[in-house]
Amino acid sequence: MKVIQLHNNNTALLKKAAKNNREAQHELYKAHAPKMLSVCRYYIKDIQNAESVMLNGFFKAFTNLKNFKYQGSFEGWLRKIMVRESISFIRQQKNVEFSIEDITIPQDHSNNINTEIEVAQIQQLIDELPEGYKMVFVMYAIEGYKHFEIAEMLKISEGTSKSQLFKARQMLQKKIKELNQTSYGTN
Amino acid sequence: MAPIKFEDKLKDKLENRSLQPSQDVWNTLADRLDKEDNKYNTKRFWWLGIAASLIGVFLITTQFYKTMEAKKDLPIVVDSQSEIPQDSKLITEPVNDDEIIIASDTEEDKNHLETVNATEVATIVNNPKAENQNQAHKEHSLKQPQQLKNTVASSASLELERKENLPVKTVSQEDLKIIEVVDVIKQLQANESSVSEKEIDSLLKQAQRDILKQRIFDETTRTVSADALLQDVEVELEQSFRDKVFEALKSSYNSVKTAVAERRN
Repeated sequence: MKVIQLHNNNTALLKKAAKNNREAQHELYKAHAPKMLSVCRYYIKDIQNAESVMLNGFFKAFTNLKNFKYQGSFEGWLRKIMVRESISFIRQQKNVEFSIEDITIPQDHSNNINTEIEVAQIQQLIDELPEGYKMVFVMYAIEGYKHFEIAEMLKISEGTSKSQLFKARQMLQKKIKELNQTSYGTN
Repeated sequence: MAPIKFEDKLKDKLENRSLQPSQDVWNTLADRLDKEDNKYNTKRFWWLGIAASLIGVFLITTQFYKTMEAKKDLPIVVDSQSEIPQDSKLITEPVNDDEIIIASDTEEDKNHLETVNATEVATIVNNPKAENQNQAHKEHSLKQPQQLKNTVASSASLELERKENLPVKTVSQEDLKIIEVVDVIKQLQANESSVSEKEIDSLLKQAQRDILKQRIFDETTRTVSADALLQDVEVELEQSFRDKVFEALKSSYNSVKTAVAERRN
């Protein structure tokens, strides 16, 4: 019952926001901004730029809210907008290169790496990845997109997406190992 | 490609993260949304303005064409002076119906009238040479007893001609008769030394009779004008009545005069 009531309230709020009700828009912003800033931060290293991208994302979401079909969750719809805005921002800032060399991806994914690391450290490791690797890795591993979706969004082939992911993983594992070794060494 | 363990852990940790944006972000966003609203309202205003202007232009155009069509329907008076001989006179005073002669009954003229869609202007033709130029004028001039040829052009339709056309006056029969009488008196004066009043009266009476005769009997159509005949009779009756009254007054005056004279004596 509570879930249904919450859904109805959310729908009413969205309808108000679609009619340019500033209070309703502010409510939605307060509810979703922290999460959306985190999403933008996956892709964009600088927090101010991430905020700017998030702002653009919310602006587009509110001005196009009348097109929202109420079929999926508003958060999912907003998240997609943020991801697209982040990718667009990265593309505008840099010429992102995706290496298209063929890589034989090993089938064995046994990874028993001790990953007891903080979120900030994880974000730092992701930030250190090249833009191409980072985008594919975040979209696949964290956002849950499929390779064909990534390929479509980044306008690359599925094979390139897979190879980018493989390389990103290798690099991350290596970095985590180094991090662990350093931490053990200090301890 | 199934996600591997450490990726799951990364995802969980990152998913639970939330970053609080600065307060300025919302203010900036609200400002941008306000501007967008104003822009939308301005756009809507402009669109409404454009739509209203288009409707206005459409209405004005429709009205304009309506008035143009109405103007087209109105008869246009064409002054066909190029066809008028130099010695002809154009008189625009209204005259009696019997002074107006409808001309241009030929097929050619009718066609011309249809194309022009207008009323032709009447002309008075004094010069016989000019008659040759216009067949209708010529036909009419042959039927007239005098040299003076009066031609009134016809309108696009007979109704229009009768209702709307200004009748055009020609030199009247009375004027011509007067001129004739004056000429005769001059001739008499030239032949004889003096002309008596009786002779002048008889000439005038003759001329008057001629005029009345012409009025009553139209030689062109060989018909007798009932109105003119009636008018003539009325004039005669009036005259006879007036004469009788005058005679009665005269006789009574004479009797009174004699009575007064006798009393004095």
